[in-house]
Amino acid sequence: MASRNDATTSATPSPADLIAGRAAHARSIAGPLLTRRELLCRSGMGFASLGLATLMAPTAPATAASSPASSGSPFATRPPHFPGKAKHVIHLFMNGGPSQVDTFDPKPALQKYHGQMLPTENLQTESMTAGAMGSPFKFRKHGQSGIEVSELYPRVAECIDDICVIRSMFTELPNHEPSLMMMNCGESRLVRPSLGSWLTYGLGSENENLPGFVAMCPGGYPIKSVQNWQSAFLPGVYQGTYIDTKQTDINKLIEYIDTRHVSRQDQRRQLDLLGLLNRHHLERRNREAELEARIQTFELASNMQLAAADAFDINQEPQSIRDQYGEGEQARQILMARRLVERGVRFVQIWHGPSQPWDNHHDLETKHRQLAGESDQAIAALLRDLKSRGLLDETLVIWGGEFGRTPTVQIPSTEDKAPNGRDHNPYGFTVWLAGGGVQGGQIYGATDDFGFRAVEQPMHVHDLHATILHLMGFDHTRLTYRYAGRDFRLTDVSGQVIHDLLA
Amino acid sequence: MNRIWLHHFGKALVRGASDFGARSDPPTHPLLLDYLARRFVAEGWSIKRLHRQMVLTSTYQQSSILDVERQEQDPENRLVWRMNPKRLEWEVIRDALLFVGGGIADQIGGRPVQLLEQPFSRRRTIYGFIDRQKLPAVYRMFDLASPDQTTAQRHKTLVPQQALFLMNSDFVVEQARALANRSEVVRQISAKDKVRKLYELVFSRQPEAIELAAAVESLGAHPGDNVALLDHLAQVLLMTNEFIYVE
Repeated sequence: MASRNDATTSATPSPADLIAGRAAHARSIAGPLLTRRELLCRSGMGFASLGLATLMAPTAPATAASSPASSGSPFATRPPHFPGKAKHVIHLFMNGGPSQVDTFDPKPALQKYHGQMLPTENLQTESMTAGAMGSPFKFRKHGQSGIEVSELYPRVAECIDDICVIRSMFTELPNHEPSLMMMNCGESRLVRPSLGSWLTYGLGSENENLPGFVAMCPGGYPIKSVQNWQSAFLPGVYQGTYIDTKQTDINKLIEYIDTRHVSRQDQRRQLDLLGLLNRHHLERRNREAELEARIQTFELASNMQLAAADAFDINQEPQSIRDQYGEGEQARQILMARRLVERGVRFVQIWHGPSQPWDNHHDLETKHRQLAGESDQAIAALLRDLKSRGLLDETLVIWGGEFGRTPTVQIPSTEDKAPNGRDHNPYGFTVWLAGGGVQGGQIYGATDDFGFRAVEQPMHVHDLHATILHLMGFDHTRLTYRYAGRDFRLTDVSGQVIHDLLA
Repeated sequence: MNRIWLHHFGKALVRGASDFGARSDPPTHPLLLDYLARRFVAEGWSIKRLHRQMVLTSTYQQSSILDVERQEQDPENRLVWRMNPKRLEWEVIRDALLFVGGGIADQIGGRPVQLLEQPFSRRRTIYGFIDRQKLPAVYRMFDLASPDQTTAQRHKTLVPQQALFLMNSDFVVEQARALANRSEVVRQISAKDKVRKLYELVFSRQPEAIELAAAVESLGAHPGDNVALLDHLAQVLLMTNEFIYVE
């Protein structure tokens, strides 16, 4: 399935490129010398080491106060191409692939054909599928918009007027790995930076004391593990920081966050000396970007010690808020996401669980009911909570998986299994957006009568990415990074901003 | 062939280390790959010979220090104009910390041991016990492969948690103390000589004047008054890029 092309890749580096990172990098990574300001910014108590810095850079130009980019941190806030509506993203990743026809895309025709072959040919998916499988879940209209939502999401349904349901998503390949890569990195095969990495690269973070991009998954990694939040050729600091939200003890959530062996003051001295020795080493190695990135991790780690304990501690929330989100891992990590966003973290990706919990080839009814039940209350609470704090306008909430599921029943791999699940479906699936400049209470696009293929206003993952970047203030064709001889972008040579989604 | 090349050089000849199909990139050096494969078979499938053959090349013995001009011509280092920068992996970092602390056990074989429990084992990391269901987070922080899947190539990430381990873990602090308390260091009287000895033990070289001055300054006006400062300095050296990268 070919995606639409646009041929408007700009040939010359745009000012936006400079804003979006190169200028900052020119100073922070490739910058030839430490200015006094950079040095002071980096070393909390570093006056004592000024003499040594002068030794290291005897020809330092006197430009201490001249450059706005001289905070020198890759996480410094940078303006996008134009003022974006959204400043933060919370991506609720239903890994494994939730079924659209059981959640947000009702298909009464499936009930009619339940147990029989569809009048149209089954599209080819990973495994063989047979006849239609009517949804075991009841749909009902909700809100003023009257959008139908299944009984799996009763609380989310109450927020439907804030939600834009995209029913016409499609992607290319019927397997988890390439589809995860497509959804996260805009390329199913080659190693490319993830959406969260692009956004932290483009915008920096509003809180340099926390990682700009946090990936949370309770109890392990999803399929493709850390590749889902990789920074690829972007500097290493822009990759997602993984947090195992199964841990309830904050000191274990981020291990070794606790400074037990030295006083904070002594540790600061250690880090100042470390920075000095590392920079001296770096200068003699032509400022190798990876070495610079590793230097940054120590500064980030030091700041994280102070900020993280606070940010991840949901016990600081009043009981009333905790009650709204409910119990369990999903509630806990979704509430954490709100605390992180509130503190300026750019991109929080929340994975439902390790491996691929939503991949229900069998027992779909039981498993989908359980999975949706685990997060329904918390997702609704998140939307309400963000709204009441005035944060929903600037926070884009995304719900979806890497693809959807077939409307037809999967033929079980062994005879002892009942035919009661659905196969992967890249031809048509649902993703919904809320907040962040998205017009809620609307449905965009449609799948065919059975929910197999997106037929009205089909929207490729590249289009979703282009639209997300637009909401964040970026022209997706101009948020680029020069690597191996050409400018790369998240949407490569594809993608269209879908203006119908915007408020 | 491709994977052995990958492990010696940091990047494989066919970049997707486990995919030679239509969807993979073509090899950067097709003739070399064929030559190595043919010679490997001709010489009796000896992997040991293959290792020797690779590490004896001048290509392998190149420094990894970046050359700006060549970097512009071949930013991916496809033509191997330098050694790819080699960051120590988790196992090697832990072994290196034990080694400079003076306490690594050279015992070969035996039952796996718990590595993260006190008192810390001095055995090489290769003998660490791996519980597939409950892999310690620190292993993942340092990009250990998932024990549940075959993995052609580990990820290579840089995250603040790696720094936190070196800054705050009991294990690293213990090795830093052990290093500062090695008899070779204790025997030195002056702060300068202590620093010089630490540099010898950690980097196998003498400190440059700037480094020596900074390190001596960190020990305070009256070295010896505060022994903890020497421990702190030892730990700083173990956190440096120079310690973690092979050039």
